[in-house]
Amino acid sequence: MKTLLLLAAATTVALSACEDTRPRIWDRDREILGPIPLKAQVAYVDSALDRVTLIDLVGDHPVIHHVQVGRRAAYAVPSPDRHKLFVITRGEEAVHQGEIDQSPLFWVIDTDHPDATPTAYAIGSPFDRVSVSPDGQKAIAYFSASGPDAEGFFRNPNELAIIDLAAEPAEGNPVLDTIRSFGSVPTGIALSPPMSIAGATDPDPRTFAFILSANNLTVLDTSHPSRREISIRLDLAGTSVVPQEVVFAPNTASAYVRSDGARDVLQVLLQPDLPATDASNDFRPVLAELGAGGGPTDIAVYDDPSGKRYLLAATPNTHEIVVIDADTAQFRAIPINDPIDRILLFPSGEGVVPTQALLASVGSHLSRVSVLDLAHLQDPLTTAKLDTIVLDKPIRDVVPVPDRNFAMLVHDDNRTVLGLLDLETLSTSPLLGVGRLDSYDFSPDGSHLIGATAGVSRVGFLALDNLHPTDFRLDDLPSKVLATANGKIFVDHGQPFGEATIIPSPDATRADAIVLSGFLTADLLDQEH
Amino acid sequence: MKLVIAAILVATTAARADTSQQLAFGSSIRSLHSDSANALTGDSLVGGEVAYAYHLPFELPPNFALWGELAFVGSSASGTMFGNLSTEIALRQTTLGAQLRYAVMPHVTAFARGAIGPARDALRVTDAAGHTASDARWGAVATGAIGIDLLAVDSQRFDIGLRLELGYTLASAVALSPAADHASDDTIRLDMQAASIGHLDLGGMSFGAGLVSRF
Repeated sequence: MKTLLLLAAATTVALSACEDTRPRIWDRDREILGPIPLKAQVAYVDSALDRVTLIDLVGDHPVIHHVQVGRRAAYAVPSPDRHKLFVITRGEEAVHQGEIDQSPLFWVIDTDHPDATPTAYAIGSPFDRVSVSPDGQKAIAYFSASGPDAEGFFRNPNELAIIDLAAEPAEGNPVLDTIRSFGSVPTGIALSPPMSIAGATDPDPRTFAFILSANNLTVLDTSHPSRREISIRLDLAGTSVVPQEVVFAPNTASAYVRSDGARDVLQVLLQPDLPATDASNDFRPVLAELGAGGGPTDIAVYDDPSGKRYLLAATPNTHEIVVIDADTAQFRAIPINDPIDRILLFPSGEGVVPTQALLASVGSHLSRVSVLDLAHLQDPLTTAKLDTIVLDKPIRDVVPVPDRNFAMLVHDDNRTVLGLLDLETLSTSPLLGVGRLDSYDFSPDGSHLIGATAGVSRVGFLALDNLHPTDFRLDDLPSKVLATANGKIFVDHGQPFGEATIIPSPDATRADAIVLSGFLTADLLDQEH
Repeated sequence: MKLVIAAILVATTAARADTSQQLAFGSSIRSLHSDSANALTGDSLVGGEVAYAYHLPFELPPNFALWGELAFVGSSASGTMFGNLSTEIALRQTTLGAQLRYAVMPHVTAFARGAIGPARDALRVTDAAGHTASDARWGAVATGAIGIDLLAVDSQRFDIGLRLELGYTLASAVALSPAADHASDDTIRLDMQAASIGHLDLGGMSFGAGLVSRF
């Protein structure tokens, strides 16, 4: 009898010991956002572990940092200067043991100081898109057209969270606002660089949000987000107009909007206005249709050496390139037979005055491109210098090489046949690869094209000075290749526990490179739950 | 060979008229309750154990006996993380210890045993595409258990029966750094820096059952 009792007790203890006490975190769905290239790091966001993994590539050996964020990361985007990472976390509703109630949060991670506690702004709704101003001081979170997921009872697609990133989270920061809708939802938001409106009550430079939606353009003053937004109907002429692109001219507090279905480029000039109340705007938009006249398919803006701003618009319907003086709206039309839908300016870069415009017909797959000389273009007495370059094959895409007078020409949808266009000599060189260029980047100084094909364990380098190709054998198949601002090449192998090959420079040998493994599961077992 | 076996039998018989050697084998289940083990699997470690013991010639009170014991445990567990990462844990453990036995009544013997030794913890992680990363490191374990032997045959020279035991294992947390697995050929590979996945603690309560025989 004693033996039976002993057996029963042992069995009870054994069964209780085998009871499942595993936290639910390990059964959560996991989505990895990234790799996201930053200044000298590469970031990954893990929606199951609620953390950001930063791989610091400053030293000879990579250093891994983890930054904890909120539950269920849904979207991540770097700041324009790539020193910060912005992450939206969906939050969680505590239904099961181990879950917590957490509202949607917008996280600001200072990647230069990964040990610092990130700042979290309560944004109220699970937005899944973010626009950040060029100076990194303002951000607006909003919903994509499809929304983040099917969760929730109601979703207001016209709701925005306007975040002042220069201020700490507080009552009134962020500001939640719902813009007026005329049946459409935002398709994108462009935030201006700081712009001063001469004569306005508030003379300080401020950021304006241009919210794009079908048949509607909304202008919002992010420095005074509680003030009513201004809606501009674009379809009053009867045809549907979908705004696609906004370029800014901060010196004149104006923006140029290119829309599908519109005949002209719309200039939105912000002019001072006397506010009726404190809640009223101290500006009003003055609209002008700049004489593109043929349904512009692409626009580009540049400043000439004197600082005067010009707008280039391609109007294939009228077979013209229109050069518009942004200050006076005077324009000059340059005839061109090809239906141009891509304008790229060279040289590019901050503070650089472009001297050439590359004009391509990507949609029509034409076998030629044109180069427009921008020097003296503003002088109506001079003849516009337009060179046409005939190519061997039709083009599908044109990609500018950063800081160089080169453009990469893509001749097929699979990116297997490429060419390099030299804007100085107006010559092209074919680039032959072993297969589809699935991922590519340019070195930050524009010296090399770096490419990878998913099925080939190699990274290819092309020295753009002399077009000398080299390649680098990898130990595993690449998934994505990118170059950080400090010149390191990061090859992600697309494995859920994290594997990447880090190559110090395009000229490095295999002895210089290192494979970093397990960074997405680093310290996973040491977490307490 | 026959000569050797005969010599061993003679020597054993000459040493003691009683049983002096013990062989036990069976299966065991170890419940994993550390945070680190929970991360990898919700299951318990299941495996087998083989133990050899020798009666130590110490004078003890009546019905008590002390045995020295060498045991080998091999067990494994598998699990899933995040729905798309398969995990496999494998444990190989060798311990040396002592077993104190008490003859409760004919055919029933209670025992308590304790042991320490090295253990090799191995981890393999596999993703949905079949990529694997693995690592294995040595650590240390200390085990303690109580149990009973229910003997079907219980004589002076030979006994055999069922063993049931309940125990607890303390394990050192082993730092693991799984790295991507590659075919073991002569390909020259790049230097690798494997990030540590953390410290794996495979300690926990265990329950075992098996056969035991003394001769």
